[in-house]
Amino acid sequence: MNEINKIVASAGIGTLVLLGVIFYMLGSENIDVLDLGLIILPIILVIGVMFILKDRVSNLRAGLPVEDERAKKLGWKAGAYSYFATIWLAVGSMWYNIFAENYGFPMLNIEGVIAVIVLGSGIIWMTLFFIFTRKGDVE
Amino acid sequence: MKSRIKEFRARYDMTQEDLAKIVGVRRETILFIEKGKYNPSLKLAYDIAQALQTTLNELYSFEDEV
Repeated sequence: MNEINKIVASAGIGTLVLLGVIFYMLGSENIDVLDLGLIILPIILVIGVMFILKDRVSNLRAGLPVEDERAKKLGWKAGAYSYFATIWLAVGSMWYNIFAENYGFPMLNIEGVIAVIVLGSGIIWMTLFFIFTRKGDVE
Repeated sequence: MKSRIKEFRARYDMTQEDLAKIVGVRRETILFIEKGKYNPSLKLAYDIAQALQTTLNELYSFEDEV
């Protein structure tokens, strides 16, 4: 897959996620706090992806590669950290449900837990990628 | 790892972007190598040395990190 196709595919996925959020909002009769979280998380994720795409397009226009050895290493490093964060998100969701059950807070259903894990790990990956990119070193 | 990339670039009146285009990396990669914040792969280090018409020994120096 060449670089332009990758950018188009990422933009397409971002658009689909936003459309999904819009349809979810239209389909919900009343939006509670948890629903709001499930709407805000994908929007944060899409905004982050747009920043990454903007950076890649500007590199492409300048005749520079979209991804080089450093960017790849940073991506893998952020991925490794977000893998562990995903495990903690899953454990945290379980703890939250135990807490919510005892104190009367809204509980996460299975879709909510999956959304928190998937979207949360995506946001953690993106945040770490931005931090590592600014920091410079990979080791 | 310290590098003399900036010094060699100045010698050939080359910008970070020019060097990045020659060796096929992003401009920030050159910036962080110059700052000593990123250790390039042997291939990239060699490519940069080639682009600046010098050798690895001339371009990079290693200091013991304690």
